[in-house]
Amino acid sequence: MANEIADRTPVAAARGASHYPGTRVVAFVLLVAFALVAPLVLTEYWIKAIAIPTIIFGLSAFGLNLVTGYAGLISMGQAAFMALGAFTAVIAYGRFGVPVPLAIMLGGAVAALMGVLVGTPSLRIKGLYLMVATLASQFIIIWALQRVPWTGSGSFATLNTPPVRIAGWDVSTPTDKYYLVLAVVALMTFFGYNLVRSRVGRAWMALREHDVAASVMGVSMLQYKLMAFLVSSFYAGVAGALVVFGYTGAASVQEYELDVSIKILGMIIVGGLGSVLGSYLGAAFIMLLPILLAVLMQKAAAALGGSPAAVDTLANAEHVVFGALVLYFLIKEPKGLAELWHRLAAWVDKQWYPINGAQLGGIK
Amino acid sequence: MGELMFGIELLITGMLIGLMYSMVALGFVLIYKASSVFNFAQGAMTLFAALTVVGLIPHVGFVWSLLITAVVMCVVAVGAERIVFRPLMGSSQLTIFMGTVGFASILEGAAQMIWGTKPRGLKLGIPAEPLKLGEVFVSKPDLISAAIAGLLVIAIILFFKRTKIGLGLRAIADDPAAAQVVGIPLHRVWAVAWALAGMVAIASGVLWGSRIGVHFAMSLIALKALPVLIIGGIDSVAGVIVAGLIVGAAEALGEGYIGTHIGGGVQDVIAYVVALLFLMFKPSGLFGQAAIQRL
Amino acid sequence: MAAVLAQRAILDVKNVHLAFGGVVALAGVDLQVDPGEIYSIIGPNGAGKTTMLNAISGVFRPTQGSIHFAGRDCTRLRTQHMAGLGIARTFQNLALFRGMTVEENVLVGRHALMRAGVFECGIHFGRARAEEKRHRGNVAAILEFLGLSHAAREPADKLPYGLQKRVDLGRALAVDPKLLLLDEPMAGMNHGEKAALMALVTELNRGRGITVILIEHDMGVVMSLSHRVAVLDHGVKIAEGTPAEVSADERVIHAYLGSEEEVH
Repeated sequence: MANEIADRTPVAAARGASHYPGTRVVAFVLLVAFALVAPLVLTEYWIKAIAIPTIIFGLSAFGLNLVTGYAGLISMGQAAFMALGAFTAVIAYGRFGVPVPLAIMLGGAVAALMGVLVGTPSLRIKGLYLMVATLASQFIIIWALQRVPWTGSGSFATLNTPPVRIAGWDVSTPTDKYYLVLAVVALMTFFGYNLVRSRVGRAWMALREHDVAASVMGVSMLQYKLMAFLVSSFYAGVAGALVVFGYTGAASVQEYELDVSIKILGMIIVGGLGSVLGSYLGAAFIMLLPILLAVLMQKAAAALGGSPAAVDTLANAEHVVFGALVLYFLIKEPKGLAELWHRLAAWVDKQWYPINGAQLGGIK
Repeated sequence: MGELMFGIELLITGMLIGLMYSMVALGFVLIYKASSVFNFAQGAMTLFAALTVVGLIPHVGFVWSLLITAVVMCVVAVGAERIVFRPLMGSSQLTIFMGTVGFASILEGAAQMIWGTKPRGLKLGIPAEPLKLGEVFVSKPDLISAAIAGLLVIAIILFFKRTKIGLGLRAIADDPAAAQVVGIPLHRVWAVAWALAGMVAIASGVLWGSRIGVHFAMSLIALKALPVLIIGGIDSVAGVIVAGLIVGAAEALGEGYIGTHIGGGVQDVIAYVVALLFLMFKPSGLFGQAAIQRL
Repeated sequence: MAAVLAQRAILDVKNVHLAFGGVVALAGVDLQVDPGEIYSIIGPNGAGKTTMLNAISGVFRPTQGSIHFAGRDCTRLRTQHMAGLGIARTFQNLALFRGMTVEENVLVGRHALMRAGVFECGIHFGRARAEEKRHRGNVAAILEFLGLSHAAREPADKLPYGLQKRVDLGRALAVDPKLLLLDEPMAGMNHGEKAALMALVTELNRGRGITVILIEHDMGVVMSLSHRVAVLDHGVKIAEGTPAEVSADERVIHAYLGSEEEVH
């Protein structure tokens, strides 16, 4: 994954001979350029309803990928950590006037603190016992948020943010919000990308693959498992805060139930466990899925002459397709969309620069 | 005096419900014994079964509805074993668990596509007036449900102890490779375990459905069996029963005494709180073997 | 004599007992390993050899007795602190980090020698960056020494078995060990591979002064490599001495013959 981009690119070896920088580099530059000008080319609906939530959930999925994909620890509570971040941020900004950037950090910090607490049993228990522990925290956190007095209370506890201002910048239009979200997510992704390629990321992967061998090499299980939960839930908390300031303008408890945690888990399975890129690809895929299904079912209805599908049917079809996708990727493509992309890029490389492709064929 | 009676009533009601949790939990135990997996889809199977039973009743009546659903659940179970779990064999526990999450999503979506998302009632025709035992009132439907659940629990225990397949399951749980060497048909035993888990899902779905109605939240009820498993220790059937009783009692007492002060809903989380405490301080549960540690 | 040995021993294991739920694996073992020697532990299957390595590397804690390394009591030390002291080991079943490349596997061995924390690693600037570069350099040298340079970017679990064994060894070398524990390093190797590995071990021992504890079934390897040999049977040390002394020992012959009958 991460280092594959830098390391395994066959093109890198042949760079001296060719001026073609490699499909992945080209794609990355194009992606950055597109991200920067997206508000100019996309309609407001696409920015507001698709681009922003995709990026935010991509960040949360990346966080989950750190703990589940890299460190190999299951977590079923990512949505609850987002909720903690959302409520912390909106209370900090709306009630106490904490500046937005600090409020976002604070949202992450509170979620991270809870993440460490939830991760504590992971020192003594493994695998699916940990699943129950994180599932329990998902229920308990949401339950508590519905009952503490500062959130407005009730099953639909919701807090709206006052107009978002950062220094002199009014973050009011979808374009403003998009750039706010993009900036934060880009920074966090840069940080996480470095992290997974570093000593820390290697320690996580080593624990995932063989915890005894890892600790013989000097990796402290206690420290690194807790760190994985800490960083992962920090990312979730920041994503929750971004939902408030850059997406819906509110923290609402019913938007972070168990099904959302499962959705985020699905994103990293589909996108690729243990892949930075995969987290975002998976998020985009899962966020676009309902739209894709709606269009398909409309087409089908029109073709068959039936009436358009009801909202309920659509939601249920989404469930079925989501589950099927998760199973398909687990069984057939366990490294997810990220791996498909890597293969495609390698193929394009080969088309573009056959000599290098031949070299690659020689190595493999 | 009235205070005490109130407490006893809560305790009895709680334990009756607790027996129903034990039954749901045994659905998980069956799969766990066969393949060392927490089957996240057990809740979705419960929902699927309940919706099928309720959906068929108007067409064929209660008894036929149960029988047809039993067949349907067998098909679902064997299908799950074939297309989901056999291809994932040899993968990590984490991967297989994620597989059950995906399978759960398919079942939930399919069940509601077929039968609709509207909550439905399920009447078993048990008179609702409470039974008076001395000073204590006990709900008749609860009592009968608990009795059925209890019988089912005993049946499952007997199945494990007495039948060839049940013994095979235990052998597989102990050492899958060795079990295969001595000629235990792995796939058949697994299919049977899944089918039985399907039967447990029907019983859970019908009993819980008659209590709270048949709707989406049902899969959450089934998930509450997970704390029961943690508290009891997943490899101990006796532990699961005791834990079910504890969870039921804790829910009823918690709701009765604490819930009134904080606006109710204590029963939704108390099982998880207790399970979390166990995971932190006694991860092997009440009766489980302390073999969860590394190596 | 024993007192003198104990003073200069780099590893001093005294009266170590270890039991798993009633099954006794080690019943009062003493070992003194001198700096710079190759010390082999042999014995029939189930004699407690790997358990001994696990006790020394802190994977299991002795129920009784003490372990001193370089004069420090590390009986109760946690596993992850052993690498920092300079104790490294290989694994009988390799225990490679399967999803990681060869280079990454070996880099994990540098973990205890690196300092950058989570924040520095995320920023990847200044100290963290320099440190990463330096240790990647060290790892490249280790891979070169083991003849693995060509496979640095390959996933470790895709290599042939013999190379996987070298990755396991490379991981241990990356620790910069003073004491290297080798758990059946020759298992599953052919003659040529064994000879090459023996040369490597000799080079590590003589050239770099690394003390080696070796568990090995191939008696030819043990006899030609070791300075001293200890024989374990049923969790007890029944003999110790130079290869020649041990191979002439009555109890050793008996223990082996006895177990041969059981095995075959």
